[in-house]
Amino acid sequence: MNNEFLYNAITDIDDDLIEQASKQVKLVKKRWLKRVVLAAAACLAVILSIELFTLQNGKSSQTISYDTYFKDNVVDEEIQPSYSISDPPYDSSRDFSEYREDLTSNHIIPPMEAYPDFYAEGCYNEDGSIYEVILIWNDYSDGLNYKQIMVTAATEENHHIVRCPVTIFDENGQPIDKNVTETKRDGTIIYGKGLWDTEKSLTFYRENIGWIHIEGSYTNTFEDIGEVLEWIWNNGFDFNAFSKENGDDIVCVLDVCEALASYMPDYETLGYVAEQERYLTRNGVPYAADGEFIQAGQGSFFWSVDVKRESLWQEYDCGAIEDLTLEKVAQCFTDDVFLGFWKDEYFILIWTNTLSSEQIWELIETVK
Amino acid sequence: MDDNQIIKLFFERDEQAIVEISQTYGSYCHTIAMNILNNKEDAEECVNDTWIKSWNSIPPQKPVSLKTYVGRILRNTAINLYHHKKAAKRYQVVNIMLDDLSECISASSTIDDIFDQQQLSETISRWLRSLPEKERHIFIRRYWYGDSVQTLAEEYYISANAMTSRLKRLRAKLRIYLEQEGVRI
Repeated sequence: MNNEFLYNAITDIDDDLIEQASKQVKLVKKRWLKRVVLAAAACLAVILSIELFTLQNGKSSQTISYDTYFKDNVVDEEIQPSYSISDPPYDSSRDFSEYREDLTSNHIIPPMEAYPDFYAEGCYNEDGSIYEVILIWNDYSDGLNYKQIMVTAATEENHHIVRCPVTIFDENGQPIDKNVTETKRDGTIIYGKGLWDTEKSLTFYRENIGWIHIEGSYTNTFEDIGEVLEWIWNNGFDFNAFSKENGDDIVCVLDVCEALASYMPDYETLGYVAEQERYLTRNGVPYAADGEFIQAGQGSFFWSVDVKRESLWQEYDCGAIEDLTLEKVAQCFTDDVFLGFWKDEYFILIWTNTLSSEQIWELIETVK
Repeated sequence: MDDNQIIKLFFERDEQAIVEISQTYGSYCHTIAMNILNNKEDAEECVNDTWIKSWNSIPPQKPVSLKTYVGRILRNTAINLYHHKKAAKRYQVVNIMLDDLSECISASSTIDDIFDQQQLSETISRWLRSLPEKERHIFIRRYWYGDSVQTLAEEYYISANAMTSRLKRLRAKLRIYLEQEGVRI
């Protein structure tokens, strides 16, 4: 079997690649432990040195090129937040992804026109106050090398926003390569992490804005991140716009949701069983569903229904269900993995490693 | 005991070699075996087989890195065990991993004797070296060490969905790279 041939070939990749990946895990954990111990000392040292710099040099320049924010970095070392995804540090969340237009026209978020996809979430403490606001813009136009910019805003430092720069220490506790650049602008310290070809971020706190952490993928340039910083620097961040009552309440239900049942395949008739099946409601109104379905000896497929189509799936869009035929499905299913189509206002995506276009057509016919 | 000393014991046909190798790499091998097979008894069997195969192959083999050498034997043993016992319909983890890897190969590909497994390993190594460090580690952690998506997501502090999507992109990248390199497997 070809996939086993590949499994065996991966077994024999170069020794150093295997060793490095193994060391990376230990390194991340080890460094994290060291950081906990040394963070306070490092913070103090940096704050003192910056204060001293300010005393000696007076007010710093206000115009800074974006590269400058990262100029001292020689390694890409991440600061890992300290919580488990199964136990988030906030109490509840609300979705703001549907309000991009309003938020943009009211100058609450930057326009980011080159990024077609937008996701926004507010996370709240038990008393309803904001823990953090997360904004994510995606641009999939460059295929696999997609760009992603994420802004986290909060009134206090949290698991996403870690101010303290970290020096990497060797096994003897001696400081080695630097991974954070501190730049002072209008009296505010901006922490820049990352290299030109790695993930990168800028973090700062301003009294009239709050804590802001801007993160870009390795395909984003320093300029991409810098421009977002510039926008927030000039426009501020309106936390009130993301209060809990303004957001959409997304609830996941595991029971069959009648409103979307006609958009999910009749898998049982075709001999599949549901490995998982779930429905999502927005403020009580069903809007999305997905599931994974398996048939012993035949294969499996993932099926998702959503009111919108991320630009990532544009190339797999085969059109309206009314126009689909077996021949058209076979034409669209050229990459043997994804196929998308529209039924009413819903975009349906099928994702499979194992089914043929004939089997996919059978499934589509059950929702036609 | 370091690798050279353990290998010396193997060459001297001293059975203490098995004790030492299992003390040094037992936990490492057991973790990978559990990752792949997800069954305690089978993982134990797989690790024991790995020591026996090491005993039978060293000498004549003299591995540069004993750790990756036993890791490779273990992965081969795990896939053989999977074949042997898959009728019992266990091994969801192996099934998922193999399904994932099938995405890296276009459906029209056929087995081609010209491109042997060693060449393919070299090509994959080259591709891995072309990736950003983090992406490279994620791929190897998932498809060599068999770490679960959930484990990786937690270690890299992103959601499981985001990690799934990241792995999907990596597989697609590998597929494109293999096609560009003219790989027919």
